[in-house]
Amino acid sequence: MIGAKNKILIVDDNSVNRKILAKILSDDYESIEAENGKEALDILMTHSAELSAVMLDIIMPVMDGYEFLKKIKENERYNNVPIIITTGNSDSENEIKALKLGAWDFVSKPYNAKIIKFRLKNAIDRSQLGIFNQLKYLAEFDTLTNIYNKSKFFMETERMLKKYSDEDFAFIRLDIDRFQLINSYFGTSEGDRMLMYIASQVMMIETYFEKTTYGRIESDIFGVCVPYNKKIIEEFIRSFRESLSEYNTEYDIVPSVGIYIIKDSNKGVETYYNKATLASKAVKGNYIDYFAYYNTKMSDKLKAEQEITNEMNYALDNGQFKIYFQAKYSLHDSKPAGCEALVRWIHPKKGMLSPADFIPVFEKNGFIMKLDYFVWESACKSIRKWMDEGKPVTPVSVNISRVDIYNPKFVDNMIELVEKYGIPTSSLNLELTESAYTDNPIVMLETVKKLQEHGFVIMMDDFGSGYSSLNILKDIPVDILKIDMRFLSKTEIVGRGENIIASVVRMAKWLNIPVIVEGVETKPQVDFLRSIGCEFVQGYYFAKPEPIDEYEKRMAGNSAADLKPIERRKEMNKFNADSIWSTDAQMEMLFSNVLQPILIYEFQNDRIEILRVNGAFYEMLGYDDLAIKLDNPLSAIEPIYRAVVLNAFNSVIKTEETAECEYIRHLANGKSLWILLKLKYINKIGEKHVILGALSDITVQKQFDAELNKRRKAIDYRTDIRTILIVDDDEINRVILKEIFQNDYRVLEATNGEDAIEILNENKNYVDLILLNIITPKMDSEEFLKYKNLNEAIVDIPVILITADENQQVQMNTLSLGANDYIVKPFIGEVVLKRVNNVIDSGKRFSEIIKEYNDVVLRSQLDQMTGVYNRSTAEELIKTILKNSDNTYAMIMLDIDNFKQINDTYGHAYGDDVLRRLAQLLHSFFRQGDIVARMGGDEFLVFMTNAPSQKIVELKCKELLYEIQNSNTDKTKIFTLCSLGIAISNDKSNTFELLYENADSALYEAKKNGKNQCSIYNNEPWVECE
Amino acid sequence: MNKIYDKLLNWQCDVNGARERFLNDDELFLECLNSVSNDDLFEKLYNSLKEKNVSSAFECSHTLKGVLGNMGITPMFKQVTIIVDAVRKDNNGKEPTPDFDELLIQFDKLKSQNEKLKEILKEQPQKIS
Repeated sequence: MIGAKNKILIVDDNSVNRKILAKILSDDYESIEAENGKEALDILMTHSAELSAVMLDIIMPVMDGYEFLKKIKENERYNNVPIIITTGNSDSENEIKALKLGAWDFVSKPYNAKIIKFRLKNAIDRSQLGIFNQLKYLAEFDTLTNIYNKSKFFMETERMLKKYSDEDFAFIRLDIDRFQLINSYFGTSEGDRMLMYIASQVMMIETYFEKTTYGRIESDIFGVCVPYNKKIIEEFIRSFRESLSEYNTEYDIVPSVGIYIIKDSNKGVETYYNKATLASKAVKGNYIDYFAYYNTKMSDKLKAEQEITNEMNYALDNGQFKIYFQAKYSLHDSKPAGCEALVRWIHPKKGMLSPADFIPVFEKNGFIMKLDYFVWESACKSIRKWMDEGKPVTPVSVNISRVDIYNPKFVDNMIELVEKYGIPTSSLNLELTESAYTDNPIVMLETVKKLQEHGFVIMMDDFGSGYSSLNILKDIPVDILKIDMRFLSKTEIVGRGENIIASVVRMAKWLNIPVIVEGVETKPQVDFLRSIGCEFVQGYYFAKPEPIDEYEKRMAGNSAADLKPIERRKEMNKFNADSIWSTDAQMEMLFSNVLQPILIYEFQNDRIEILRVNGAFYEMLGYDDLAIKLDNPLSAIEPIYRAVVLNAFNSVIKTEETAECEYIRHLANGKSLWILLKLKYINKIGEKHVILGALSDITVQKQFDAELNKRRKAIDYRTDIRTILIVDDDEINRVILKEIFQNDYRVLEATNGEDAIEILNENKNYVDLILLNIITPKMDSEEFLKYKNLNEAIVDIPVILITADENQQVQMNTLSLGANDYIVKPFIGEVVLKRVNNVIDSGKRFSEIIKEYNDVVLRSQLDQMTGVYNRSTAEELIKTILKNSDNTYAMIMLDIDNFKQINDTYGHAYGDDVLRRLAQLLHSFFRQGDIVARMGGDEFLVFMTNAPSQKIVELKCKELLYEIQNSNTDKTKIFTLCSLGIAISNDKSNTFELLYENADSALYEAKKNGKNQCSIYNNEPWVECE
Repeated sequence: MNKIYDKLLNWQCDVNGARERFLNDDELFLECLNSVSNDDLFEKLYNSLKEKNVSSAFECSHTLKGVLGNMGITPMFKQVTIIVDAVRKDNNGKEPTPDFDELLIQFDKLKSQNEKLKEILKEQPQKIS
């Protein structure tokens, strides 16, 4: 309770010693005495909450000090109770032993009052520091991820937006798709681990922006606020997404990111968060577009989606979904080569709905599985029908959603379907999107293998839309690739889309995988595709999606072209190496169209030769590249990496597969790059090995890594390493002290006071503690301390004096100079370290943290307008007080008699002013430990802790009414007058609710008796102020 | 009261230091001086030395040392320190084997010092009850 003295437990077997200690402490503390460790332990167990510290003698009967310390150490509850040992003088052996057992400090007999108080205060402050740190941490930080929690993050964001109100900011909301799934699938501990990882990636925002706030909002939702810079923000989001996919190779973590650009910084962070949430909803479950900016249409979209969800089941049951077939064509002979089954929603009111509108909604709500199955079954029915009618069977491809892959029965369902209709599996082709692979590569791979074993043909739909297209080809043996012409033609650079398509077609040919290009709509496109050797196309130019009967008509009389995949796999070794040297058009195209720098090497006996490079190589490294010019690829490589590169070459000729390495490489212009080189074995000609190499520039990534490391170190430095300045002209002293501190501190040294000031300046006063020899040349300790006390920048740095003089008078003098403590030569490591820790923790940092704590926590506890406690805080505080004590309390309810009239007459601004003034008056009128709160409107509550007596409370209230009346200085305005209701706690009414109820009915009584009245619960109204 | 302090000061006692410790509460100081001089620790210490019980002798003398130091009775503090040091365990925690006859002689000195203290305290003005 505020105002009550701290209690100290004094443990000593000698009553005179106890009496002396109690006497010494009597001004500032209340003492409880115990004769031995056992008695002390009993008291501690029952009174630990009240005890601020224990003063403990070591040598005692029954249970000595050591035993007591051991017992305490076992129980975490008492970790925060400071224990100070009282020992005989120069009893260093005992002191060290006690410190090791968990004692916080010691004082020696005969006692010195001042020193005891110093040590005790330092220790108590330090224990408070622990508690405050904990509270502050809980109030501000998310305990799992160690970043700001929602309220602190919002508050800091608000502060930042206010501070830079002339800048545009963006609020970014990040979360993880299907996080709940991860949690339930892998367990919450894995979920937690992932959240910690995500938090670490969110923190990376600091490397992009100087001004930034971030925090964990709830569950898997994180928030970031930064100055608006589209390019950098998107860079961050991309790298965030990549870092998530690196987290685990077994499943892909896909984020949804919503961005709201803050145009009006007065709307409040909650609003920005809501808008960003809406934006992120727009991309939830969308693999490609995983981030979006908020726009007003998003609210409309949400509504439309809801409508779709409401109607879908009815629509399926009532035949609103229709199957359309779109024919594929062979460019070779312009004949149809099977079709893709598509679904259309013929809505009775809205007409035909585009799949783009409803498929994403179904993917989100899972209805897609039902709809997909409906399409598959329809396709099977058609094939069965064609078989029954004796028509040629053309393969029908159907779409497999990513959600289907998650269904463990998916493969069985597929097999069941074809068996049910008795159709060949090869007639039902399955189109899987690339993103499903990145989502869950292992499941996807297994599924594809199983399906292929049963004879299904697997098509990779939307090839190139994901992020690791080429990787997929390496891992998954797909039978046919589908590329969307429209998707790839969206590039801004003329011809680039076509170039990419051409490269893919070439490459696929190289791998013996047929390609179907979709979205082909014009004659020039067809000509182009034909020119690059594309075999199959699908698109409006040849056929639109059409009802099944129309498709059947189209097919009548046509013998279908063969879409069967060609046998492939492991064909790479048959690659015709001769073509490398050929300058034929095809080879040229392949080489020059690949955007990645590619080289063909010859390698023998550790000698590397470059046979060919492509254009991209020159683009990256320049036309005057050293490797080419000097005809020695190694010459351009930083010497220390040459062995690594040679190693990779040797490994690739050994395995005849692939190898890779990273190295620094120099350019002709003097710059250097970090290069990732991937090697692929081609074949052997004579004694020479032909190897294909692909280069990637990973400089940015490497720089980023380095930056990160630097940043990490900086953080370590900031939080973990504390700095200590030793000021002593004796080198031996400095060496000994340095030895003691260097493991835990950064140690600076100075030989005298002047020197010390200079070093403080050099280190921008970033010093946590000064160890100062009492006598140094030039500027001695006395002068130095005087200087320090006058200099605001360093006044708060604690000082411990070093003295060789055991004489207490000298030591006392040093303390009166403003030092925080002293240590005596010869030094004892443990003692010195402990004392320094005590002083540092209880010093400057304490007051800083309290201030910050007050800032953060109190603000949320105060009523915004009046600055007194708000209702919820008051209630909480009062409940805690009532729970922990059985004193007598008074609760006073108060409201303004004529507040409505004041408001109506002078306006709300004046009314607010009245409330503020009244709050101020209440605050200054009552004691510091009393609680004053605004409960709402014009209703205030005062809770008097330790109410001395009913009589005094009554008098106090009478006085208050008088004060309020007197505060009306403007005699022309309506007077502010109040009514008071008082309830006093007793055995029966000692809960918040009851006191509040009683005070409220007392207030009601007072009101009944007119204005400016007080009433006490259960008593008659008793006074009216004059 | 002054008489007592003068005598103690003459006896080389640290009266000022001790009074400071008592925040100049003379009544409490004198009360404590009385209880120290009558403390049964002297008796216990004597018995321990006679029984050659090292650990008990250490406990008693160590406590006495602390109190006497706190009370500023410097001559007795010095005297009891001789005993404490003789019965204190060494750095390895090993108990010493002191010459108890010699220690009993030292104790006699301490005892006569205590008699002297009692004598001085007789100057104490009687409380008016």
